[in-house]
Formats: sequence, C-alpha cells, structure tokens
Amino acid sequence: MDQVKQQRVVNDGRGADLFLIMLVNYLLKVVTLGIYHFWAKTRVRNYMWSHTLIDDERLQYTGTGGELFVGFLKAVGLFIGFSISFVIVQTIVGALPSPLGTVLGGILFFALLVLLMVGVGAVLYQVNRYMLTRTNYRGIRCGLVGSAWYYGLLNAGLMLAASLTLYLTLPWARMHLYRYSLNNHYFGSKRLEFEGSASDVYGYFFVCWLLAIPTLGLSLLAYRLHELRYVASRVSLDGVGCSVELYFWPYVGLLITNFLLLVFTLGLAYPWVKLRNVRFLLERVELVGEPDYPAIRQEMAHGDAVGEGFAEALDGAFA
Amino acid sequence: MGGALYGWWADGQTAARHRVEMIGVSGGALQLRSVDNGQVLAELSLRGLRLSEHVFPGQPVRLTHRDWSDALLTLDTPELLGRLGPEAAHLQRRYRFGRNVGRGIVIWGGATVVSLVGLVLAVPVLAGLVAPALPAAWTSELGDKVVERIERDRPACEGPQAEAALQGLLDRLLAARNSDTQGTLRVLDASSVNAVAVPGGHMRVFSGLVAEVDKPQALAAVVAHELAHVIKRHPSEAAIRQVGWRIVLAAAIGDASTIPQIAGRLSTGLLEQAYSREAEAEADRMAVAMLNEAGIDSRGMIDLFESLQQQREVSVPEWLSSHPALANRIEAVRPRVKPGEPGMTDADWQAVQAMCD
Repeated sequence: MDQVKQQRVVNDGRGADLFLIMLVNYLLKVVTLGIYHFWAKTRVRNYMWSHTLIDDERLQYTGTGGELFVGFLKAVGLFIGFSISFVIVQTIVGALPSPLGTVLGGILFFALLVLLMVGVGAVLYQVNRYMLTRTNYRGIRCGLVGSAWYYGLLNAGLMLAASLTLYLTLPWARMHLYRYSLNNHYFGSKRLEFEGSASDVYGYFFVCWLLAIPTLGLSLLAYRLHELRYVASRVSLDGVGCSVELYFWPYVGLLITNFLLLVFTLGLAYPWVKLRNVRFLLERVELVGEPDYPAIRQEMAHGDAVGEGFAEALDGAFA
Repeated sequence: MGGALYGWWADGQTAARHRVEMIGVSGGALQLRSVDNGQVLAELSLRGLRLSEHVFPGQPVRLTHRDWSDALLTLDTPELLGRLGPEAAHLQRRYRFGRNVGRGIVIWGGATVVSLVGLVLAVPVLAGLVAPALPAAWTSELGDKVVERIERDRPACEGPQAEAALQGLLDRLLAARNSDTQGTLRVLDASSVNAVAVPGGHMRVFSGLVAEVDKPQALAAVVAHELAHVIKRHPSEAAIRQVGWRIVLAAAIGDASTIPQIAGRLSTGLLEQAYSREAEAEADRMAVAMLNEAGIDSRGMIDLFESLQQQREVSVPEWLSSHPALANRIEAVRPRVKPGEPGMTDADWQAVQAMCD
C-alpha cells in the first residue's frame, strides 16, 4: 500500500506587508471618498490568497475591483428598481376597496418578509460562489454550482423550523445546509464530497444547548467548533481527506489576545490580527492524501459579483 | 538571455504542473519546454505576460498570460524577470513596488496624514467659497424648514406695536449699511436665553433673552449680532461645513466600529466649534460697527454680555464652547463702543417686553 501523503496548509504572509497594503488602501479610499473600497478589498484578497500554500503551491485570486464595483452598482440598481415597483404595487393595493385591499396588503407584506428571509441565504451563497470562482489553484478555478435561491429557501425554512423548536433541531438544519452547499463545491472537474449526519453531533449539541444560558452562549461557540471538526472530517475531494483540530480554549485565547492587540494599538494591529486568525485556523488543518492532478480539468464558469454587491450594499447585515 | 531559465507551468487546462525550461525565441516570445520529455508546451509572447499579483519579498514571481486563460508560470527566482529582455520591462517595473516595505509605510503614512489634514482644512475654505455662490432659493428653502421646526414648539409672539418696533430697528440697521439683505425678525415664546440666525436670513430672538436684557440698546445689540451672521452668511457656511466634515469623516472612518465613529464625531464637533467661535467674534465686531453707523448706542453690547454673564452660573471652558468666553467678548468690543440713541422709544421697548405675556 502507498504511503498516504499528509500535508499542511501554510500562510506565510507578513504583517508589515499587509499593513502597507491596508495603509495605501486607506489613503486611496479617503481621497476617492470610499469608491476605492472594491479595489482595496481585492488587493487584500490578492495578498492573502497568494500567501496561502497547499502542497508548496500558492493560491491565486483572480477577482478584480472593477468587477466588484460593477456588481455593487447592479445590486444597488436592482434594489432601487425593486423598491420602486414595491411602492407602486403597494399604492395600487392600498387604493383597492377595504376587504380585498387589506387581504392583498397582508399577502404583499408576507411575501416581502419571505423574500427578505430567503434573500439572506441566497446572497450568502452568491458571495461564496464569486469567491470560489475567483480562487485558482494550479491554474484551475474552484466553483460552486447549485441554485442560490434554493439555498436561500432551504436556509429560511430550516432556520424558521429550528427557531420554532427552540433550536433543538438546529444540528439537522445545519447538516442539511452543509450537505447542499458543500456537495456543490468543485475544484475544476472534481466535486467536493460531504456525507455527515446530525445524529453524530447531537449528543455534543444537546449538552451545549442545555448549558447555553448558564454559559451566556459560550457553549454554542464550543458546539460550532465541534461541528466544524466533524464536517471537516467528513469532507473529501478526489480521495483527499481533511482534519481540523480547532478547540475551544485555544480559540477563546486567540479571541482575547486579538481583542487586546486591537485595543492597545488603537486598531493599528489589524493586519497582524487578520494574519493571526488565518494562521490559527490553517495551522490546525491537515490534508491527507494526494489528488490525481492531471485528471482534474478546468470546468467551472465564472460567477458574477452581484451577490457580493448586495452584501456590500447591505453591509451591516452581512459583515 | 544567457543561461537556462527554469520554472513551473500550469496550463489552465488541468491541475498538472510541468517543470519547464524557458527559451527565448525570436519575435519577443518565450518557449516553454518540458524538462521531462523535451516537448514544447507553450509559446508565450513576452508582451502578453502579466504579474499574477504584486510581489513582496520572499514570494515567487508568478506570471499569467493574456492569451492563456488561467495559466500560471512560476519563475524559480525573481532575478529571472530581469533576464526576459526589454519586451518584458513592464513586469520589472511592477515588481519593484513593495520591495522596501518600511520605506513604503513611512511614505504612504505621511501621504495619508497630509491628505487627512488637507481634507479637514479644505472644508471651511470650500464652505466659504460655496456659501455666497449658493442660489438664494436653496438657502431660503433650507432656512424655511429649519424655522418651521423651531417655531413648531415655540410660537411667535404678536403685537402690532412691538412688531413694528422690531422691523424699524432692523430697517435702521440695514439702511445704515446700505445692505439689500433680506431678513425676518421675530420674538419667539421660549424660556431659553438665546437667539438664532438661520440660513435664508431668518433671525429669531427667544423671549428668555428679551426678559434677561434691561435696555433696548442691549436688544439692538442682539439683533445687530444676528444680522451680522446673516450678512456674512455664517449659517449657510456652517451648514456646508458640517456636511463637508461628515463626508470627510465617513471617508476617513469608513465602516469601522463605533468607537472611532464617536471619536470622529467629537473631533469634528470641536473643530466646528472653533470655526463657530471665529464667526461669533466676527459677528460681534460687525455688530458694533453697524450699531455705530446707525447711531445706536453700541454700549448695549457690553450690557448684553454682562447680563449673560450674570445669568450663566456655570462657565464652560472656551475650547468646548461654540461662543468665545463672555469676558473675552467684552474686552474685544470695549475699545470700539460709542454712545448713541437707544434704538427704539420707551413705549416700543415696553411693547416688545410685553409681547409674549
């Protein structure tokens, strides 16, 4: 039997480099009254991607600021168009005679609520799709197939159901979402495979759920990390498996030290904090096995940046 | 080119990586030949090559090509870049950036500080240029809205004799200046000891202030001071400054958390008050001049300030305040004040004092 190849994912970025990038970005954002934001974001991603190595090969970010800017403009245009048509429809419905108008008005309001709930998941899916299709490894694009609206619907329905059961069904909801999203992830022609079941994590979840109030929600963070370890262990791509050894107390230590670093430097340590976060995760990731690289073909089409544009336009809700 | 150049080639078709030797061929092209089997994998025009990303120290140089979508050529050492020949000079130029990170931080940091200071200082200058150029229709529309809001909870006091006396005072001051400034002057029923000038030439004196002053000259001083603001367009300038600072603040802080937001608000607030103090001093100077020109007793200014001094028990440090300290205001006007008429008859003055009862 062949020896199974084990490898680490490494980030060799330097805080000073990132600081310089962010400094220049800051200046250009100020003098362009913020419009440079999209190019700034792209430059940071470029740096982070090109300093992340898997099997001695660096990732490559191929997105552009112009693309993000156009996506943002389209999203704002769609949003304005939608708002105007909604107001028009609302005015017409409001003018209708009493019983019919009230009923239609109620339906309209309910439809808007559903659209917003579904929209959140859909936008997140599209953001993910944009990022993946702009991520190259060994000249091959990653990708995300599947329907963003379906994911949004799934997300809204499952989360609503979970809230109705006091979140006791949360693990099922989350595993269902992971199954849909992760199994639609691609690296070139190779699909990511995820097979997991909520029953594997339910015992851990239930204890955390019981402790949620006494621990002020910290036990739910512990569950999220447990879930991450579990999901990683059930993921494979072309025979390559993954493990993430991310545990609660070291993670809390990271959060506290990052907070202190930011406070005592008045936020100037942000580039170092960002790198610390990325490294903390990557140092705990191990990939097992090696794919058959020549068999992986270029297949994924580019996704558009409208979803990311929406996320930008509604920054507070998604950041 | 001299000496063999080596690197890694990923062709954008499959995820395989090929060890290649790069050979310069005629016509400014680069041939990639597989080290394993000697096969020619690609021929790239040098002009079509681009750096895949900005290269920082310790990072390999990676090139993409216009005609080869997603393909990536990784050079063994960055020095190879210099050996690709003049057609690849554009790559060399971009590569230099970012070599000296420390120097970059000093230069860009300095540029950032200079730009921020420049923007902050540019706001009042721009406001001074823009305010006189604003169409009167805009400022009066804005002013009407503000006045409407002020008067919503503070009704205007009425009385034919008092209103005529106030209008007479205003006209007298304007006539002495030969000014064609349009303005409205009213007394509002409100207990606070205050008076305001709003864009569009609206002056409002609160009844609390009327009750506080004990001579018609002091009221004339109040009106002259507010009229000076109107003539100098201080309210419009202040409104534009505030919008400008808000824009600069938004650009400087962006989507940061609330603590820098609050710090930013505070600092622009202090800046605004510094400019406001300057405008107040200017209005005081002009008010004295106007009163003198109109033959009204400008010692009323000192009466006014002294009444305000008695009324204010707690004194705020000057730098925290929108107005200069009263003691300083008194010292500033004292050399210029002159005796003169009271500005209105005793009967008119009594009518004004009684109009809000």
